[in-house]
Amino acid sequence: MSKYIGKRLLMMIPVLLGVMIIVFTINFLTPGDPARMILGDGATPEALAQVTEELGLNDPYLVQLGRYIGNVVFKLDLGESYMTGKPVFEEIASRFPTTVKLAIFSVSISVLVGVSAGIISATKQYSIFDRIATSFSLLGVSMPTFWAGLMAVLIFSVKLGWLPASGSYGPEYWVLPSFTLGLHSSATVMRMTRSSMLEVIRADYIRTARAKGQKEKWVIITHALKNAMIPVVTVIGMQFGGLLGGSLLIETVFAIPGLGKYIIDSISTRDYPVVQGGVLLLAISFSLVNLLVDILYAYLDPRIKSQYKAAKKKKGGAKNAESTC
Amino acid sequence: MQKAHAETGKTVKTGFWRDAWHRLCKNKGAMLGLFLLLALILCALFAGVLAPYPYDLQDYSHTFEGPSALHLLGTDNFGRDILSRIIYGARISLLVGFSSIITAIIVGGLLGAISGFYGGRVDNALMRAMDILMSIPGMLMAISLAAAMGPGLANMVIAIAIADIPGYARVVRSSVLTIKDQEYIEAAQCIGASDSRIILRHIIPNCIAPIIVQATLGMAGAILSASSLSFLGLGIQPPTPEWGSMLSAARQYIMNYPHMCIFPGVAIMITIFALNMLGDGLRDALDPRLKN
Amino acid sequence: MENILEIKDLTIQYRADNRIVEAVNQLNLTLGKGESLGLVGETGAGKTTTALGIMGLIPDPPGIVTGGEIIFEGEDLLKQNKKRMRSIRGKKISMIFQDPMTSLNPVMTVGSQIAESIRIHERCSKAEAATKATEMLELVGIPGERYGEYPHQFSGGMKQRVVIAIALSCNPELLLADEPTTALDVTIQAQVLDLIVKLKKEKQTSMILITHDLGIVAEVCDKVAIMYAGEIVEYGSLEQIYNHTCHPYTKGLFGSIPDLDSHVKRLSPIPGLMPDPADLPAGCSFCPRCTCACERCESENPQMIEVETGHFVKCFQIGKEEEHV
Repeated sequence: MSKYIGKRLLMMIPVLLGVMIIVFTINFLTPGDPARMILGDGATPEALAQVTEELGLNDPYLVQLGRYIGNVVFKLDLGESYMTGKPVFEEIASRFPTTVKLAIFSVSISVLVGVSAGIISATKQYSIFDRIATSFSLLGVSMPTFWAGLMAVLIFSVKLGWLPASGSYGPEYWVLPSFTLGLHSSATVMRMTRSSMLEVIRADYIRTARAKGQKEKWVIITHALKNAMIPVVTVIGMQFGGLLGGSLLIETVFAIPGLGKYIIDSISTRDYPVVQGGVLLLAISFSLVNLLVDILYAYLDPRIKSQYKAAKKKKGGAKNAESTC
Repeated sequence: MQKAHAETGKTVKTGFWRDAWHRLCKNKGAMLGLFLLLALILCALFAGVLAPYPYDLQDYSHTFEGPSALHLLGTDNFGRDILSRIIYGARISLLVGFSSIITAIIVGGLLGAISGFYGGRVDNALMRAMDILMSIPGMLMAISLAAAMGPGLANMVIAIAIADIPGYARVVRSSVLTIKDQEYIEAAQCIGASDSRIILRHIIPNCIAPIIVQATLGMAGAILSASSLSFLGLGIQPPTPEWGSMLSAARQYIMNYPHMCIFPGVAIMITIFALNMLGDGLRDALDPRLKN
Repeated sequence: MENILEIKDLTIQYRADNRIVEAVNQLNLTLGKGESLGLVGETGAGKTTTALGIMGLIPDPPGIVTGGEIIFEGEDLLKQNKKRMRSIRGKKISMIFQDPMTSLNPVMTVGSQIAESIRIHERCSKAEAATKATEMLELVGIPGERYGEYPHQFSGGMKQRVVIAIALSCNPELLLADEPTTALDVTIQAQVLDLIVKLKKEKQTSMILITHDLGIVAEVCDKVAIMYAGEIVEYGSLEQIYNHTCHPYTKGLFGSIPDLDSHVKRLSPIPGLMPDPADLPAGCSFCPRCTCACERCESENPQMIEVETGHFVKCFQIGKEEEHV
């Protein structure tokens, strides 16, 4: 298993480099003069030229790219914010936990609701519960996240007055954003769980389990669930990416001072180093989550693991099989 | 999945599409989706006729009005008729949806086809590049691209299309790979069919089915992304009526004038719902093997 | 001899899209203790459905047992509640499935899949079940140290051995073997079949062997039942069926087997296809393909007649011949 994880970690290196290249390139192509952004409109041409030289903006693209990657990898240096003059790394690091917290809350809600509703729907196909759950999930996937957030505010803050609409001053402020994001993504998780479960329930090995006289409950829990979760885990990983993207919108709607809102605010103030750093951090966290998903995948599906085991062992197994049978 | 298309597609091509259409017609959800989509397209085409008011007609004596006989969905902060703006908004949304998907299909399809045909190093390099593009969440990618390029319709289309390219590249590549290995392609080569004939008569028609499905579902995603970008102020700018930017403007009045917030969202939802239903239906209809 | 199983007028239907498919139609069958019965017929004749009916595992929906009795050791299985059926399944009656590739749970070790069956029916600790499961593995010719391996690490024949080990782990009274060798290589087929026969003898299990291979039946079975379109058309001892073949369908089956001893230029296959089970002929269901059908066959469904002691045939022509004689 550790060999597998090691291999996956190694495979992440080119991906992360690629992400850095993309993020840098997008920023490189952005119109606008960073020197002017730093110094303001009243700056003299000499001062502008000096800052441009200091920042190395006259160097060719590849040199700048190399310097950027070197700074990020070895010094965790993402540049300085145009607005505050502080290192971007500090700025985003202080806001990142808020976004992570929101993502974790939402994913928990999404998995809890989505997976359990999916299982019940699949085991009781065409029941009233199934019909209601599938209709809700259809509406859910059709709804834009930010609008769902607005509607949640409208109902629970404006009309009912139960929960605060925006800000982040206590636990109650987390309820609406987490549930909006979580329930929204649970729609997709539920659909995937349901269809995957329906497929697995019809599998021959489920019939074998029933033929052993196993109780239906255990047939579902021990036999069906683990098999059905394999594709669901992938979807949950992808949902996490969606949630990171969605956090930009939801944090804006609910005025949560996380990384997402910070990125959006920095876009409007043209604080590009912050945007660049923030996007990079979110993209890297998504890659890490995908790594976790892959590891979980190998844990769930023994077939994956053995693919990564030494080929020698596999050959031996096959030979053994032939000789004994 | 592609195998089924391939086999059916090859024996009787017209029969395959006719059968698929019949299967689609039997699917009530897909028909509802198709109906809604056609209605939206009509709205977009004949917005000038259908909309009761011009989308930018400001009437300061009737601002923030709730739904009434005069203004079915009420008016906004400038006294503009919300229904008219939503009808005109369908134009923008469908336009952005179509054009970004078409861009993504052309670029992604080309990359995927090259990857699939040539295989080897080209395939490896292209697919690793796609993997890296995919390792950035689509929404995040679109937002950072839109932020870099600045607001505007064309930039938004490009931003969304780029984020969608890897998906199409993968679909087309896997179709090409599956079809390339099919025995009937070998058979066609054996009877001396030229490469271009094989590509035109066999490979392209058999890629179309999965692309149609992906495109229908992808268009839903593109419209969603477009409204999100506009909501964040990175897409279509006011006064152009776009559902997302209407919501963005309405947000600050949610306390007192919620109707401004509700209807544009409903419009987005109906559109996405229609495309999702149609896409799911198409997937079932175009892949007979999945039907159970 | 005491009968372990008596099936009376069993009717099983599948319902889908307003179509009713009669998979099993008024089926009668008896099996003596310790006997082996070969249930022979073409694909789609309802053999597997009959076996699943005995197990109480007809997938519902779309399948329904609409009538009849399945009397096993004096009690009607169709009248038992779920709990009682579970205690019979795997313990008293167990089943070997056709396709070993899909019959085992891919994410569970083979050992634990055998141990599961033991744990369900026998009061024992996990460790005891594991020991017993290892013994079962050894019994079917798999080294016990492969207990912790997953199905994908085994070949087809080895997987079928595991399935056999599961089926026999609780010493069942009745074994239903549903084409246990069809999915295997020819060389492996004989080994697996020998294994089943050997274990059956050791454990004194009664068996219904479902197959379309008359050669296998000749090797293994004492009794033979020929099934066609959901009905038994001929039933008797091995000797009676093979040497005094009566029913035209059975004759057709034998005519379709190449015989090395006699030099025939062509095989004589049965013309036509099985009737659509949703639209069975009014009279004898074999009538459309029968070479000696008369008008009566078209309109009237023949009853089983006993042509000699213990040899039953469902055909009008047989009675006639007797009359002529």
